[in-house]
Amino acid sequence: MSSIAEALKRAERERERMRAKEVPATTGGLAEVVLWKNFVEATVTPVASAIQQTPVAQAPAVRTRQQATETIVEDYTSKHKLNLPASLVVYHERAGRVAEQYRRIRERLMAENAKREPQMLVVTSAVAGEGKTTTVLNLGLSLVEIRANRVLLIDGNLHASRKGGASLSGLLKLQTQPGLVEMLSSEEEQLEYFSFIQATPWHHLYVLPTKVQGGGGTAERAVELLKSPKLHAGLRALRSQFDWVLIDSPAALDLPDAGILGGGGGADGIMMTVALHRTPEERVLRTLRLLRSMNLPVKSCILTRP
Amino acid sequence: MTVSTSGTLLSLSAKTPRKRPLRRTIQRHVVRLFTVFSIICSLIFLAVPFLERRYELSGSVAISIPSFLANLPQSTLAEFQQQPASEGVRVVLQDSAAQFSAIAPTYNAAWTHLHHAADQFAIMLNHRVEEQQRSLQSSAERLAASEQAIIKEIDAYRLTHHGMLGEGPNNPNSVQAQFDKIRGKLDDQRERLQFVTGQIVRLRSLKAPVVSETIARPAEHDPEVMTIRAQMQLLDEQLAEQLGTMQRTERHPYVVALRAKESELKKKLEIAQERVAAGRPPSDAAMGNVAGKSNVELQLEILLADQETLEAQVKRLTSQRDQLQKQVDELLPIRREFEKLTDQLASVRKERETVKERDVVKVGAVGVLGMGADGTLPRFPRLIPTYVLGIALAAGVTMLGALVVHKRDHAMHTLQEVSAAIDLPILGVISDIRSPAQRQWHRLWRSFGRPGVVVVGAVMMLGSAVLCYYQLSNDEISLEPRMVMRGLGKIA
Repeated sequence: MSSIAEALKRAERERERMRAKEVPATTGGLAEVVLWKNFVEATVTPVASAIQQTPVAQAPAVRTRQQATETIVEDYTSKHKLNLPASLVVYHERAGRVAEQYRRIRERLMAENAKREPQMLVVTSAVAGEGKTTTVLNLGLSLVEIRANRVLLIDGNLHASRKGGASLSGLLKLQTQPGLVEMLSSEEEQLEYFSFIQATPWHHLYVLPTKVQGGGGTAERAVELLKSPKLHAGLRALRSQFDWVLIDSPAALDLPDAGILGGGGGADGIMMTVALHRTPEERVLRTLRLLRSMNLPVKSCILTRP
Repeated sequence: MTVSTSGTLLSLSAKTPRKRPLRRTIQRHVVRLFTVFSIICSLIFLAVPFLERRYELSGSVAISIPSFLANLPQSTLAEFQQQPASEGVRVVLQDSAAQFSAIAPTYNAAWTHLHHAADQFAIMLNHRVEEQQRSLQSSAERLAASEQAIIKEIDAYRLTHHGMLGEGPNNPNSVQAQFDKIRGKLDDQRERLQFVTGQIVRLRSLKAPVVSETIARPAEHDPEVMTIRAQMQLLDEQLAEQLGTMQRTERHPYVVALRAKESELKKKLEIAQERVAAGRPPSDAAMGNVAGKSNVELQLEILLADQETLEAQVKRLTSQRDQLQKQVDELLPIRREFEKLTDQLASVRKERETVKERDVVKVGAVGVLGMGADGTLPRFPRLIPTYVLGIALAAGVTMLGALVVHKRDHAMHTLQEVSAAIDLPILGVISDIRSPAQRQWHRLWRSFGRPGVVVVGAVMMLGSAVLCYYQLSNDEISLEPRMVMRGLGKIA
């Protein structure tokens, strides 16, 4: 088992322990900083050591402030060096209006999932450029603001590199590592799905990139890759380890990827993004008809203004 | 209409096409539309002054005398438009400045020639009119004096021949009427005298053989009846004279006596007629032989007396007629002279009216010659039509653009539109995601940029309109053929 899996399991145990004690993990804020460059060390050694450390008794006011702020663990200095795009509003402007709008969406999603069962949602749209990737990223960031949520973002847009669109990997400037393409094209029987997951600078926020290694050729065989039996098994396995799995898929009218990811991947629901002032009504309706004709559970809609 | 299948379930749904008013599109793109409008307006206002301008020069000769028009020089230029004679000659030229410069000599020569002819003719006409006016004035004065003299003469005639002139020949008191009356009376008396003379002759013939009247004769030939009738006729004449000429009434004693005598004679006539009907001869008393004379002799005496009376009357009437004839003869030339004077007076008055009328006509025939236009304002393009057309064209293009945008806009713009279109729960609306710098720029744009665009568009439009105004209205271009009338003024 990889170090990430071990870290995840330790995190799960910690969460269970926190739930049992009803006390948040009161480790030092900056002590839990997860650095991008040394992710493995950060997730294994410092975090584990921090978890194993005995909590220091703190004043109630200090503890309350920490509970409010430590839900997202971040190192502003290091992230600033990453030069992340401004579209990550939940990170850049935590008190901003748009961040609050994402938080409202988060609250509604969590309210609909009262039993806190793992949810796997495919985010798609009628046409390209409606803000799917931005929505997935900001929604994931807002979800991990709740410290109990573990979120996995899957970059399911195998055509992003061909069309020049933004991808999760590109926006987060992830290092070149095997991703969804390698996972689906792997011929190993006992595939370690967690080995393809990459950590992010945010605590409990992970990313399964498409493919950032070499690239080329994936767009042509995207359907073939998505039809792989490993898709369902892999997504099921990942879903079991995360509270929220958000899959960023290409436009449903242009490509069948969203339908395959939603159907073959066993998604719990499809969430559509509709760009105001831009997306033609007729295309939205056609997308809905298309998805419903595939017996996919189209659950909700988010309006954007790209 | 939509048909979708879900397993074995077939669902049909139909939706009416969404209708969005054009007003919403205009409101959403109002700044852009105004920008387009102002740009088009400005371009039109800036481009119009560069179009080739056309100028109009006009001149007119306001003399409405056909002979003047007939004497005008025949121009070969097609642009010289001769209007109807009532409006004189009007020349309108429309050309660009370059064309005007090219044909300036031709226009100048033709127009100068026309002016010269008009000048000469108008001066000549002016002189003639003045001469005619002077002669007419003297004629009018002479006629007025003549009229006054005639009027005085007529008045003198009327004073001299009071009761004869001015009352008409049908007046019974006029000389002519009296003359006619006396002449008629004289003829009557002459006829009566002739009758009496005939009776005298007849009675004298009756007086010679005295025959006893034993044989019954008709009443008309009975001497007594005839005598009575003659007396009655004489009596009637006397009564008529008394009642008619003498204008006496029935109450006059002489008329009463004559009436009594007439009734007596009527009784005698009845008795005589009865006697004649009985076949008896007339008695001596009945024959009027009062003094012992025979009836015929008595009758003759009466007739002789009547004859004398009549002769005296005829003589008197003849003298009266001769006197009146003399007066009538004197009156005839006077009347002729009077009628002549009256006619002359009427003709003088008519001539005076004619002189006045002709004077008016001659003076009004030559009016003020119109001044030529100097052609500094272009006939095309004009300022106001340029503004109106530019604004209308820009508004039309802008509205067309708005219509195109509206027709091509199939997107949904509000949460309500999306809710009505799709039956999905909407988790939220994400606003525009901008970086702080972008947001700052956007704020600046909304605060200053968009109003600035509107202001700049309006200023650009107004500026171009003002520029267009100055270029079109203050055109200092100088056109060679200025058609300005020379040498003529008001002809009084």
